[in-house]
Amino acid sequence: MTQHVVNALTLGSVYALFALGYSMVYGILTMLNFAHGEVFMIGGFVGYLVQQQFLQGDQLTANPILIIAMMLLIAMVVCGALAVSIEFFAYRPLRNAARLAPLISALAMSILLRNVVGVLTKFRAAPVRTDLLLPDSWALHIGDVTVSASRVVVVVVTIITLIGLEIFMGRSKMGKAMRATAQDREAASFMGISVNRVISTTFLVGAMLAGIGGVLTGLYYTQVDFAMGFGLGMKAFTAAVLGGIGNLRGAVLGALILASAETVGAMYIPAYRDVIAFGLLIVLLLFRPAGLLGKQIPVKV
Amino acid sequence: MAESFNARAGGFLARGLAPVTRVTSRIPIQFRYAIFALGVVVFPLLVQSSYWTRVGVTVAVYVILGNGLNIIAGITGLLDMGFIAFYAIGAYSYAILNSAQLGIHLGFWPSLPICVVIAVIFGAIIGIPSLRVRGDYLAIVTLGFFYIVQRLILNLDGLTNGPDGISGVTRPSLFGFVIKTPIQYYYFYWIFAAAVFFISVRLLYSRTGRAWAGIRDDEITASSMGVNLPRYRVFSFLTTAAIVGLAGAMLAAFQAGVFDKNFSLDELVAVYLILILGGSGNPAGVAVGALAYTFLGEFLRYFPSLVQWRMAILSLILLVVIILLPQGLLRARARKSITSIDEAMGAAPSALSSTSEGADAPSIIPLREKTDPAHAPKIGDVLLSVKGLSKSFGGVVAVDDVTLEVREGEILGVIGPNGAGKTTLFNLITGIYKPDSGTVTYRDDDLTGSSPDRVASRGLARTFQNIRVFPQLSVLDNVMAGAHPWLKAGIFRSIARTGAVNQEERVAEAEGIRNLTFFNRAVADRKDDYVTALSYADRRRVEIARAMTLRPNLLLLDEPAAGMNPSEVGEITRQIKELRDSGYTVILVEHQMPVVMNVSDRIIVVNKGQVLAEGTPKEMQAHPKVIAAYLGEQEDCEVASKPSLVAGSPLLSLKGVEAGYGPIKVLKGLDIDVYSGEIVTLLGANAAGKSTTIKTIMGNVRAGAGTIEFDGQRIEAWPTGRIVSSGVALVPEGRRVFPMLSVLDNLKIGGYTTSDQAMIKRGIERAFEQFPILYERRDQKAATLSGGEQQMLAIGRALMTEPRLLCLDEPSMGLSPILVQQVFQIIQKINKDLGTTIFMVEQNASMALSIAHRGYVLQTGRIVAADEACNLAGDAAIREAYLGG
Repeated sequence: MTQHVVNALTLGSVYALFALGYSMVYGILTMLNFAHGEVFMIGGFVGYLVQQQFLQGDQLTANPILIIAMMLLIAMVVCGALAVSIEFFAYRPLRNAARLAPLISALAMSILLRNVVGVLTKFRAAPVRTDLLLPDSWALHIGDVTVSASRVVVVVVTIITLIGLEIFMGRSKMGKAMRATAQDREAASFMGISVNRVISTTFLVGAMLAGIGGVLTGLYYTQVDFAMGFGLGMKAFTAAVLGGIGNLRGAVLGALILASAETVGAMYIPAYRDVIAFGLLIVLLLFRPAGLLGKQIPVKV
Repeated sequence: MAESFNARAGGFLARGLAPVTRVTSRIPIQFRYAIFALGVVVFPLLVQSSYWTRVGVTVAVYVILGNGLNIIAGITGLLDMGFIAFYAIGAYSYAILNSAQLGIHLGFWPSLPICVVIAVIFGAIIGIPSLRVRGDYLAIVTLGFFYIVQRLILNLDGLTNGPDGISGVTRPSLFGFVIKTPIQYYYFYWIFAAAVFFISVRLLYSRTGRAWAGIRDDEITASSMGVNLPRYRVFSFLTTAAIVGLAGAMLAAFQAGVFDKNFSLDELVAVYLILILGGSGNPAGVAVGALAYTFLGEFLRYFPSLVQWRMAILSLILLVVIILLPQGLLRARARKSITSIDEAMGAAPSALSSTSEGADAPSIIPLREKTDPAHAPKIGDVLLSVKGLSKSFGGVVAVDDVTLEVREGEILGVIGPNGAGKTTLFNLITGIYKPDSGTVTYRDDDLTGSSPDRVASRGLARTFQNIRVFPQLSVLDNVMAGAHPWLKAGIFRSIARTGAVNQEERVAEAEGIRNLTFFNRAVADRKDDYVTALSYADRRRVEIARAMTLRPNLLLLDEPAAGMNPSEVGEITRQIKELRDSGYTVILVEHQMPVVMNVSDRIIVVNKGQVLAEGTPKEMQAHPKVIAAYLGEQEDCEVASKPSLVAGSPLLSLKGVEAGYGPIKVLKGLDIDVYSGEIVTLLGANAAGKSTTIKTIMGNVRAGAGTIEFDGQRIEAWPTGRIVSSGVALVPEGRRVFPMLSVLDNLKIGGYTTSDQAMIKRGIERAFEQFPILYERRDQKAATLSGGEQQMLAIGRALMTEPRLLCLDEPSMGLSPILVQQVFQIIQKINKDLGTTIFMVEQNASMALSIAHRGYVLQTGRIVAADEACNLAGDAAIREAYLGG
């Protein structure tokens, strides 16, 4: 049982970091940002590249904790910069276009990034040396259950990140401006808030979370590949919808519920664990389309 | 920055293509089809290569696939990522039914319909739940479905043979003749492609196609024209599933096998590229896109080093095209109607009896019975009855226990100050909002809480305050969208275009044209233009003609004269009367008092969501309560307490300011000066341009001409943030507090532009001191506050930056009389104690003038009076501006 709880928590952590970016962007632009999955994937690769700098044969040349910190930090910076540029070049020009246009732009951007990374990596997976960075000897033993160090790191880093996000959104000026803009864009601009800057920041923060998520996913699965953003992204978006899209706490809750459902599902129907997320989404749309914590927003006529 | 860059680059691209389009657009459309068809026929004979012929077969499959996707994405405007899954389902169904896999060899012809049906069944399972509520979740649900199908293909070995795929699939045959060689496939498949092409053209120009385009262009309007949104979204989704299912089966038959690689994410993007590159929404564009895409792929083959970059290149092209050339290579064109104006007019009652010859003779068009003028405009029985209707939004009551009746054959004017709840009332009657309580009864039908399409099909047609036409349809197609409820053709009959369908389309065309000519011949002459090419006033006329085409008994017109010039206003006034005389009952919401007073048989005055008074136009104009609602109760104006502060140079100065929204000019050269320490009020009726003036000062609407000076600096080109930092703050109309932020956070957001922590601290303390209730509720979400408390919060929020100029937009709107008093006292106190200069837009003229030093009266974008406040208070100009002459 404990093992399953740990599994669900680890998986839920990755989904949560990933889902938040979808939810934040949707909350402010009501747009499904397909390229978010690729930002996540690139975060994983940045982590891999940083690791390579500290690897000689089978030896690490620095303290593993320091290396992981570097991986996370640089992934956040690269992903943030990437997402802000994507928004500027591919989405901003289409902000007032027909609804389909930004979605297609996002889809094209997603495929572009995926294939560029694919070609550069020869469409092969790259190994993340979790065995060296987080050796088995660091594993926790709770009763007769062994929790690997990588799971501990995934959960702990996620919790720290989420606390940081909560403080940023709740306390900082920019965090409040982001919430205000999502609620009423025009009124926010009357307050002197630059809506463009807020939108850029939203992409920046969402991408930084995805960068962390990408690195952690690499550590957890011990590899990264060019296609990892797609399948996980699907589920992360499902988690965001589950919690009520645009609602950040909802996204975390949705991630945990989805991860639990998958973990339970994997015990009974292991071959179809991917179907669970999808089935959950359909059932939700039938009975509670606004999500668990979401509210139905009235249309403006 | 990005916008201007793209505009420039896009313009460059469009200019580059201009010579090509100039040449091609000279060729008549039938010729273009003929040239394309000829090209298709001779291609294999010219190339004499089985490789290139096979490439040609691929193009045919892409034409089918692309046209399938075009239905849901191009015409209906929904992002369907699952079509590729239905393509796979079609292909695997065919392969399984025609291979050694299950030992069945059903054959090509029996298999085709089965494959299509299987794809449609899966489409229903996915589409019905996800399209029931909202369109924008479709992308993710269908993407998920595609993902699952991909997994299933790889894992269901017994059925799909996993990663090895199925080979040895039966080839198609025609009358016992087996299709084998590339050239046989080529012609066989192009016949299919042509068929699908014509099916999609027929659907595009049908009742169903108009409904789909309506969903794409404006869902709310489409449903108000009787389109059942969930049903038509699902129809569209299933049509796509059927066509791509067919394409899948044909792919399997062509390859004599299927493989999981045929249905990748890359393929999905490729088909979108075909659609967007060619021209979304346009079947011919899709064909061009399929050609361009295929030959682009072939071209890349000549550069082996680029092969691995193929998808990167294609997605980059897609990205560039969607941003710089969103209409694609072959932009969609407005439909050319069949019926001429003369034919339509010739079908008038007198012509109906005369028998003409030929199937296309106008006499075949039957007419809707027009009411005989002799016994027409008698006010009759109750047509619509509204009882105790209420609706509130987040604690603010918009419509409060409204009861009214509309009798057959009358024009009922509904008037009331800004924010009185008139449009909300319309939205409740027409089903766009569901009432919290109360009933709406039309004849004997209970329409309470019905969907807009059901209300429309009962015979209630409406227009919208902020014109809502379908921008990607022609003028006549816009009008014909109104015919949706009474036309009968479904998808299959539209494809077959039976005689009956042809007939009813002609009837709808003729009726649409006649309804356009009701306004004037000039609009009808432009029936085949895009509606976006029309002027603002003409778009209003199109909207009314569309409502008439619904064949309603009751027309609900929401500000039909807004934005029209004086002569157009005169015309529309006359025409609204004509509408009644030809048998329509009309409910009219209108701010231009001369119009309402002139046409209405009866007027209902609404204020603060309630019915205030009811009677003839004359009675209402003189009714003290009505005057009070518009102008406020008569207030004392103490001249002594208001020394003139007009001295030196003004703090705020507007000179010749013009502004508007797109083609609509709202401000037509304003001159306003506000001096330091003054309270200045800008008065005027609804839609005079008061809020636009405020938004222009704040930099939210850009001034098209003229200058705005604040404290000696030109600010008209500044971003809002800079204007706020320089000392201007706004209390917006309707308060606009941030509902999900706490009271305290709302105040802090007000201080966004300052980093002076002491100032923020002062601001919060001041707000809590001034409004103790806010202190009590400091941690509550603003949404839970009452209207009055929200107004206090909005004022406190605006004062956070200690502005020198405080702008207030309708501070008394929606507040009870006691609260209104209070708010004005607060404003006066702010002016006295803090020395803040105040510029206030206000409906309640008496109240505003009682505290103001000076006032301006605005009427249709121009200042018509300006004076000391107490002099203005008795001025006839104000009453005229508000209530008409």
